[in-house]
Amino acid sequence: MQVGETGRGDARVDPQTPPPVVRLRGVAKRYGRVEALRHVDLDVRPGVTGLLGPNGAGKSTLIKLLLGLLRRDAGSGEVLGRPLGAADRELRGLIGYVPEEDCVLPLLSGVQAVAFAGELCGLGRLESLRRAHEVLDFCGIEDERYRPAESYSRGMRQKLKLAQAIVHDPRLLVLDEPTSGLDPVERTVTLRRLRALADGAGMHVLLSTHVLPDVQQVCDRIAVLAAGEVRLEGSVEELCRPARPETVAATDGDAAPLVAALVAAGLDASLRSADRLVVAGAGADVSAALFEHATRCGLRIRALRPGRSSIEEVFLRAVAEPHAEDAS
Amino acid sequence: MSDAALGYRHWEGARTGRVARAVAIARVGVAVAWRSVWLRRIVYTAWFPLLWWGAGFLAFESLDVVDGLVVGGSDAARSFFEEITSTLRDGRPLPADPDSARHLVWSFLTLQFFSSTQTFFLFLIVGQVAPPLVSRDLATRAHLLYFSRPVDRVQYVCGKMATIGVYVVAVTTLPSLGLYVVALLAASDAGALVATWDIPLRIVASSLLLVIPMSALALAMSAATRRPRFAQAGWFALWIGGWMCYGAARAGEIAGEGADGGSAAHLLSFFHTLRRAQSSVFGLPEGPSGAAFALLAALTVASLAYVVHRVHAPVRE
Repeated sequence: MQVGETGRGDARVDPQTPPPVVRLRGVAKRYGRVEALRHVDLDVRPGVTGLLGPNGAGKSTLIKLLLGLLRRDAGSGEVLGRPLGAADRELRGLIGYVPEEDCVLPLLSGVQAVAFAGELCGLGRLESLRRAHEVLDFCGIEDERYRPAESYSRGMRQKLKLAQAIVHDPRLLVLDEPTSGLDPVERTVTLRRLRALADGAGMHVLLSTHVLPDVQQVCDRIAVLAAGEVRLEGSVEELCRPARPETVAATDGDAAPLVAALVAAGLDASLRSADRLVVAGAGADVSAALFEHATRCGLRIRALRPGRSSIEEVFLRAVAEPHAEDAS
Repeated sequence: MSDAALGYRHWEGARTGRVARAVAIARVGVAVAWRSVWLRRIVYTAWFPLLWWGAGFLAFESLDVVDGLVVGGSDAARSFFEEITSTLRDGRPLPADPDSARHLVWSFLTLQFFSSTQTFFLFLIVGQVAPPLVSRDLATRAHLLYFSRPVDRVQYVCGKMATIGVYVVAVTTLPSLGLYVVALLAASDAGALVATWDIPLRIVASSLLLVIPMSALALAMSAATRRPRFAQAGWFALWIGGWMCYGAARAGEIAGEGADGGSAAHLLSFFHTLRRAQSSVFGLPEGPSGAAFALLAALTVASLAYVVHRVHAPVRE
């Protein structure tokens, strides 16, 4: 299948939609008898995309394919408008990669390690040093930059890897578990940095992670990979939206009488927990009915929001789906 | 101020070429290795033999060659010269032509500098520099740092070989060329340059002969393990073991019928194989050298193929 011919219903070309940063069609990769990727169709749109999947789902293989470190067995694709598998070295110059492993070169200070990464990407010696200081400032590594990198804590190493990945100002940033080992404050700051790179610098970010709250916090879109295939792909907003509109309400007491009153009034309501209920539908009429019946039941509404699935629910649903071939 | 408040600035600029990336790898490798106190001590010590062999050049240039015999000069100079060239002359006179005699003596002294002292230092220096070059990258998975960037395996291996090459050049090529310049100054004769113009080229060729197989073999040992100490032990074992095998084989030959230059015992030892090839490069063959060159070429090709395979294997996992 050629790039551009979509095999997926949701990948129709919309003239208003910017072209995907990564477009894969029918990509497959085997390691001996093991199918790491089977016919992967994936569009990574501009912004921050989360790549989710359980261990062994094929995320690392997919990343290595994008970087041109592995050859695909089948399929085609484009990364940043360049055909996958052609001019890999040139393409790697446009991608920044934060591996999960530490990859620390011993005996180099933080600034030397980042400058070296810049030189490997083709920056001149002095320019890479200047740029290293610039990105270390951005990543929040202050005087520690003069210390040997192997003495860094886990959190510092994560920052160092991010600095090494962006020293050459890549167009696409690929991160493998960038928040693992970070304390909550550092995690939040790191995610904000990623958001700043996407929003302020226009960098496209592909974030592979197991930490689902990170995804909810920073990603515009997600793709769920399981058993070597893309199970789900779309915007976080879209995927977390329930199949039918619903309203979730929290009360200051037992919500059961309120549910009964709403059902009696012809609304589709159900109890989610002792003080929480879900009502089918959304909008002013549902809200008004809720407040009216709550008052009658002597309850107060503490919170009211449109119903949406958590990213965990979306992920678990996607991973639990049977394989397409198995299902057929 | 939040961490991201400093903002991110884009970078635009011309990118360097392929060679510059290999040079960057080599430069960082040299700088990291130079932090070893032991390495610095060995490198400084490796320049001391220059005094001995320099004195040899000066002694020769203070003497006259008449009909292949050295005459004139002080007794001390003559006796020193005869001592350090005893294996060259072996009781025989030098060529009658003074220019040919000068070329022969200079080549011999340079070869001796290369193979009798500097190769020993190289054995120690390469044993210090090479073992961590690839093994540490494999252990820390730093190979991803290289190969996720626009660097290919050829640039990586060239950069690592150049790291070793810099040290080899520092203790062989540069002092050898220095010796040559000292000898030219001591000769204070324009004819000396005409008669010996090829010696610098032979020095460069001999240096390459050391750098390429030695660094390829040392890198292969480094790539074979994730522990630099094991690679270091392997390197020293190769040299010492080869030397012992060579000694045993030569002893056997001498105890038997007596060996001449046609013996293949030198192929058992990396040092003696290098020595045989180098003597040929300096025009002072110690016997047939084809097998030595072939062995060095085969070792180089096999070692490099192994290194290239090993450094890419973890990426394919």
